[in-house]
Amino acid sequence: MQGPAPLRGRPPFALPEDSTIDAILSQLPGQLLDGFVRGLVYVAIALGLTIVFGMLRLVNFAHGAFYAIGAYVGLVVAERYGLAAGLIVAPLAVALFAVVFDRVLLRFFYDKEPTAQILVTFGVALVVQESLRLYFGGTTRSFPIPAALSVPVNLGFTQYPAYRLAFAVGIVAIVLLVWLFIQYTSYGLIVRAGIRDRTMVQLLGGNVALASTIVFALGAGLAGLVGAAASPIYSVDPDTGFSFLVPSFVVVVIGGLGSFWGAVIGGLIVGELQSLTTLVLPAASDVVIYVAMALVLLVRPSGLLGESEVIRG
Amino acid sequence: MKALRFYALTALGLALFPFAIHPIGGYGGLATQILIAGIASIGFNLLLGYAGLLSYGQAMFYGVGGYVALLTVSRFFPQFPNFWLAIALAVAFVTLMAFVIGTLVVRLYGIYFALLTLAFAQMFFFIVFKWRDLTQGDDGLQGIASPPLALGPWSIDLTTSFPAFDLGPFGNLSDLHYWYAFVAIVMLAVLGFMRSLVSSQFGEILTAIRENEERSALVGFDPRRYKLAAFVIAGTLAGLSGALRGLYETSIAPDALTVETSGNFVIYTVIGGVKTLFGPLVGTGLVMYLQNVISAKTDAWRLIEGILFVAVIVFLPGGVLGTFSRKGARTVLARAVRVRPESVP
Amino acid sequence: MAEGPLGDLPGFRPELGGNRFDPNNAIFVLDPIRDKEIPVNVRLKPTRGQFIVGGLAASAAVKFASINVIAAPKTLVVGLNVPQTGPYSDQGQDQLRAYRLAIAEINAKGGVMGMQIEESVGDDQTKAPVAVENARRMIERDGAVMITGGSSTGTAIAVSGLCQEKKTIFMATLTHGDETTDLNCHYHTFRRYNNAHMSAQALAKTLLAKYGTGRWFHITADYAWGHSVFDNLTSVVEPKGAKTIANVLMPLGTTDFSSALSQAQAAKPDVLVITEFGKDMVNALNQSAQFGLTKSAKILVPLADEYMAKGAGDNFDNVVTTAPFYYKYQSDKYPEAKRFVDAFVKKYNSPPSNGAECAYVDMYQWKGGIERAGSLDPKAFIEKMEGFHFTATKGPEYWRAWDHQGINTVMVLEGVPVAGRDDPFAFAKVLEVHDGDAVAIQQSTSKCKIEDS
Repeated sequence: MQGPAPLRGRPPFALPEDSTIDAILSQLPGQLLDGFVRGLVYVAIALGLTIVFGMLRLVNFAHGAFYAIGAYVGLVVAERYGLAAGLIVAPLAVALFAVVFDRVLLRFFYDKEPTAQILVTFGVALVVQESLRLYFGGTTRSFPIPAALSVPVNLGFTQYPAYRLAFAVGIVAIVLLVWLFIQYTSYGLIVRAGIRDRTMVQLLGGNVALASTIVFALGAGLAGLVGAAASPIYSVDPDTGFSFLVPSFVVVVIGGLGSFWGAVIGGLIVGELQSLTTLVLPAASDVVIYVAMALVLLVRPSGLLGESEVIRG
Repeated sequence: MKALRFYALTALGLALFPFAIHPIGGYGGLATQILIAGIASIGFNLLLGYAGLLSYGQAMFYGVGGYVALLTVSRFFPQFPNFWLAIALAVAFVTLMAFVIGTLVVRLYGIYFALLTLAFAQMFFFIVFKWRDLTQGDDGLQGIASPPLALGPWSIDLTTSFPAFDLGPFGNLSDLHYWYAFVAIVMLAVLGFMRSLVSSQFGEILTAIRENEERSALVGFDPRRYKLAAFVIAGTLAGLSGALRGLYETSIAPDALTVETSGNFVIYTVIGGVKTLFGPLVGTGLVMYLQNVISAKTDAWRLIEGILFVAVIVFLPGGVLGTFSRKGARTVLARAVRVRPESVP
Repeated sequence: MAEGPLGDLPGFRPELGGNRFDPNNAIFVLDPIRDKEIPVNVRLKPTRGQFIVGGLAASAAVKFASINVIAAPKTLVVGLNVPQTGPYSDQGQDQLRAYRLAIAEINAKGGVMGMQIEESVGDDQTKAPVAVENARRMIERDGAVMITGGSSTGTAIAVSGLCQEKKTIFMATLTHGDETTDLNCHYHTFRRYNNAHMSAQALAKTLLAKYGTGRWFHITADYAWGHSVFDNLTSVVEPKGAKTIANVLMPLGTTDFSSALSQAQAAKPDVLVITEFGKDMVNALNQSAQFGLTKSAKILVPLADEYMAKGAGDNFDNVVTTAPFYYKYQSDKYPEAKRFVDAFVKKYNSPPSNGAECAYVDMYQWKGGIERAGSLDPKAFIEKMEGFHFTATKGPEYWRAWDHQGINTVMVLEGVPVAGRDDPFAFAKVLEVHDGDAVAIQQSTSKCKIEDS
């Protein structure tokens, strides 16, 4: 039998000696930047999740699997042809996979109850995860950061890895591109209309099926792109899909399921919330985002920017 | 009479089970583990199968049950180690927890319900992970020997083996520990309870709520109270399962509270067959057999599990068991024709 | 019952003995599930012309699949429980190579008391519940008489607890947290690898000379081992004046350390201690470089091995660490070490990491103990192990009786740049070698209270 373990030295959660207001303030800029970059990763993954939900009213538990496929495809291609090639091939491969998945399996579940949709996407996520494990093995892998970008950049208030800065800029650009696509193309119009009222668009003769597939492929491709780009930072193993999926749920719930800017704001909130909690109460930095998620679901299930009609989804 | 037949046949089945799996590579410990996990799956089925609520948070009840049971032995009452006390405290705590969380979550539907249960489960995971003083953090509680089972004047060490008796191809009686007998009795009780529960008015109302909540409310049943009851029962059984597992394994770690564990109960139940009495137990057995026996033969066992899961959802929504019973066939039909309310213009 | 091929053995009556069995009377059959031979797990005593088979799927195989009993060679199953996936998989796989090398050598020379060793392998994924489940399966189903493995103190403590319950020998290999032979020590568990206390004591002099007593920032793996190292290190350097400014705990398997490193950067420490292992340590150290911390602070990695240093490349330059074994050093000094390293390189084309060395020696130590005891009875084995002195790959060493810790040397190493390495694994130069007794936990301060059986 094992009694309570007395630890030598100080208890592990005693506040560090430097945790004065000054010390916290000195760490603030660095943490805010770090939270911002991590938030952007969440944004990019959650965007796909949320636009697919908006269009199809379907929460895709396989979305994390798209990230993982992208990371592995990116890794394999990058090892042979360089990172840039990986970043091009990965999103295309994942988008292709998503289209096949959608046409072969998922479309039969469009009109089923949400529980069945969750189950089938969860199942596909399992199959993808285990196929990756079988093929690539269970060890953690990552693509080395290109030498030119593996140096710190001095930003004045802090030093930050160059690759992460480039990564952040890239994601901001992509978010804007996706927004432009939805805002200014004819498919984007159908998407926006479909989010408002899917049935109406169908009755008016809009090709919702095609638009749905495009949206699905777009969301998946985005996840695949982030997977490939993030593998030098976060490494990848077969379980990566689920470990990114769960925080993305937090993001879309906080921002509002189906809302584009909701995902953006939700992602940044989650990233910063984690960073700021790390400064004041490090032990709570993970739990805090789930508390936030539960509060939003209980008080305003449609999220900060979502529309309230979706609650019965 | 029917009840008597049910109990007799189930008891016989449970008694034969560990020997029946012997020729295909099963062993006593595996049979025990299957029954323990099966308790949680059977509870989860009430939620998913009957109430139509997909919870992604069963692991919080399962894990917390295990922690409370082992902490009772090692920390709360170390001077008075008692098996029943450990189980009772674990079940009581988890029931309370399920009641509090349940009152909050039953207000939500579908995906929102799933995500909220997931959020709560993650909270408990991180609390257990970070509360190192109490839970030993990532290391978990290890090597906490289960107290003997006090039964009237007797005190039974559950790790004792049965006396040796050769059963030919079905192994030897001594492969089994008393643990199995104890868990089998608990399982019999759980099955009996669940059987009368789902055939009672409660079960019917639960199904009615699932089919059409507004109508049930109009008829005068408060849907939330029924869903809450289902949630609490499912949580309690998960807690009981976790407590038994903790005491059996003499250890528990935060892994018991992960999303993966919650997902496992979903997989077990769906593969075996929702809305069937024995389905969740069969599913649990099937997957754990894959994991423990087939894993030695091929690394692809998890892929097999995943493909099986998807295949069941797509082709046999009644699960392995449900599809082969008439009642299950109706479920399949009901699912096939059911469409979501808002997709009807 | 006496039909079939098993009936050929005359005059035996069973006495079932848990998971022990008498090698002289073991029966070996082909298991159809695993497609290999396994011993039937019973003790047989001569009496009337009957016997009963206890234990495994084996008997079923015999009766049902009519697979023949194979009379010889007799085998002993040992359970190899190491992480083949997850952040510590490099270390786990290297230990597995060493076990297999040792087993092949031992089997080629006639096995253990005439019995061939057979492995039952499990991937513990560096997760305690998985490790326990594997060990239970190895013992209950495969009839393993000894479990060995490691890479994390978390899994070691968990498996140690199970093996105590099952009265099965556990040779813990790569576990460096004190707990394995301290707070959580058990009668059936032996650990030869250095522990955190030994490393911290060995480092004391170098730390004060090279790192000084400035502001120390710790990034620590959030489980038994990390806490053990942190407690030991701070209790060595703080009394001398070092100031601990933060201890950021990161869960095992963390890949992104940016949050901790941002904090470290703002805190401007003199020393950055990275108490991480395996790929986690590689990620933490490489990312420290990306944050410019390898230039602004001195880096200390309390425990490292060849794979970690290789992964960190030039970022490991000038980093101080400890290790129980370094193939470059010992193979020049001890013939047995040279023979082992050469055999390992010949078989696997890469040198053994320090965890592999421990795995290799542990397998031989177990064999030796069994042969000295002349029995597979754990109690007899343990009595022969306690206080046993021997010389293997690193000079004279012994098993301490009261906590089952192996007492052997601890090395303080300093990393060299990639350009200065003969091969990618030759990562360090040896600064100091400490005698195990001088740095080990003393009985007066130990929390180990070992069971009587």
